[in-house]
Amino acid sequence: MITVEGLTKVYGGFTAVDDVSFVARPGEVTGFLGPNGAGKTTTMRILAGLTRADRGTATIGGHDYSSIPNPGRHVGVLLDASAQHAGRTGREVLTLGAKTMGLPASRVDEMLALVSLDDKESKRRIRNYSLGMRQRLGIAHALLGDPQVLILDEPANGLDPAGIRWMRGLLRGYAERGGAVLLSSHLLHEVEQIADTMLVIGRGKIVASGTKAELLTSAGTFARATDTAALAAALQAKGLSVSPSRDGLVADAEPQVIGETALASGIVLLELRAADGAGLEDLFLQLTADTQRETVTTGVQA
Amino acid sequence: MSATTAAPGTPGTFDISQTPRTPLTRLVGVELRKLVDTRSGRWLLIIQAGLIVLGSAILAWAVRDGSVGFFDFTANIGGAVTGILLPVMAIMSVTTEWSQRTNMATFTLEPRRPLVVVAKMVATVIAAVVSVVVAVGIGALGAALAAGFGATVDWDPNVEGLLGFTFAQVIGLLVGFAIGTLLLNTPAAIVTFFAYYSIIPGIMIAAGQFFDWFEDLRPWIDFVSASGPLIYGFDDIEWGHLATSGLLWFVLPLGLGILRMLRAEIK
Repeated sequence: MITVEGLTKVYGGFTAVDDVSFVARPGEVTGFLGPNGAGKTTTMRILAGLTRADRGTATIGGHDYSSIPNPGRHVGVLLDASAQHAGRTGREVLTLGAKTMGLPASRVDEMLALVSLDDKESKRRIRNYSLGMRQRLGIAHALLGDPQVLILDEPANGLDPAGIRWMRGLLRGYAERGGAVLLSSHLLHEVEQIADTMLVIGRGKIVASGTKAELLTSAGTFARATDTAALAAALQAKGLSVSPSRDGLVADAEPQVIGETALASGIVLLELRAADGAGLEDLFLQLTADTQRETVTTGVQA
Repeated sequence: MSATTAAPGTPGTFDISQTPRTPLTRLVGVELRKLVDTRSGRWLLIIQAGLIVLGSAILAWAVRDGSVGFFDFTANIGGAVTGILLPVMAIMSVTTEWSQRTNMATFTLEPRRPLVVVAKMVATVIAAVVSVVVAVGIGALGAALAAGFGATVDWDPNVEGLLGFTFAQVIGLLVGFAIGTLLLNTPAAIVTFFAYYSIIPGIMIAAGQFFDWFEDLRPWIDFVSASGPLIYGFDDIEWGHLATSGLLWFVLPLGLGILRMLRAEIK
């Protein structure tokens, strides 16, 4: 499994990874969710020994990556599917990997079959591959050495919906056989589809983590009123935390408390129910609001 | 595919004691393969052989009414071509890992980065020796062709000369390799190598004419001049000059390059 403790990486004055701790367990697909530039890739590069951390530790199966002999046999890594020599064929890339790890050439064919790259495609140069094909090749490369742990950075990027479904099946099966998977994405729906547990990272910090169910139920209560602003003020006056959500608000309180508050303040409630997973989505949108170019207009769901 | 479950004992850890480290020979094999598995790599070698063939044919024709030594073909034609293209090959074996970003895959599969550098260096030296053998073979064909055109051919193989010639080629290649490792950028490394090879020795000679102290220092720091006589064998070699100038142009950039690579973040 992957264990990260107090990991910190600073570039000049910019803290890319800020005291990050988490665990990715065997038998689970752990989704690493965050907007671009949140620190996912840096964390994964530190895990694979390509970047040095300023503080904290990152171990895989109890070992420092650099102390694992022939690491491809224990840890499968895909950090950037496009980081391959454009002039090599897909088959050649896998052959180089297999030779480095000391694997038989038959392993290359097995992996090509596993990721559904046919014979003709495998003999094409990577410069002519689509992003989806590069991702499949990258996953084949990560799985070559039959590793116990997989680290995949944005593996679903460039895959069509059928490809994402395929990857879900592949990683599910891998985890069920006892493997640990850490995969990152900047798209909530991708991670929702593939991962069992999720880590949400923003500006270098882990802001939420847990199983999908945990994250979705901790969302609080959604309320809409004729005068939502007044309701928000009344709830805040009681010391409750309130955040705007679409045309209403989400409060960290039981529906009964909100109903009583509305009654006491003479506010007409239009809607009152458990927030439907919007908590995670709102959290994610808040995180992305600063970094994305489009303005997130209140009341419009992205 | 069968993901092995965690080793017995502490949950979440796995046993690495049964996994042997990747041997250097395997890494050298992979690096040799990388030299020829892309079009650019293959063409560099094909162009090299083609130029030697062309040059040898021209020389064979030019000497048709006189006499020529078998070794002249290797030293003058083969050497002129391999002296330039082998260092370029050595430079690119390192720098394309950076420009194509294959270094991520390379260093995740073998985190001992200096070992990868050594494997690359050994692979390029092997390629250089093979190239010299090919150059000598083409030289023999050229000499035969010259004899066919009517020239008197001296077939003395000049073993010492050949060894010195091979040594000189390897030295040139190693300097290219070291510069490539230091700069990690193809155009910058190639330009720097040619400055080292053709411009800097001239500047040093010119400077030596103005400053006596520099003229005394020059042989100790001019690797091109120090290794130049190798092409004729080992008799005229000043080993002290070769050692100090080699330290400056090979050991120093290679050492700094490896240090830089150890600290570098691989993106």
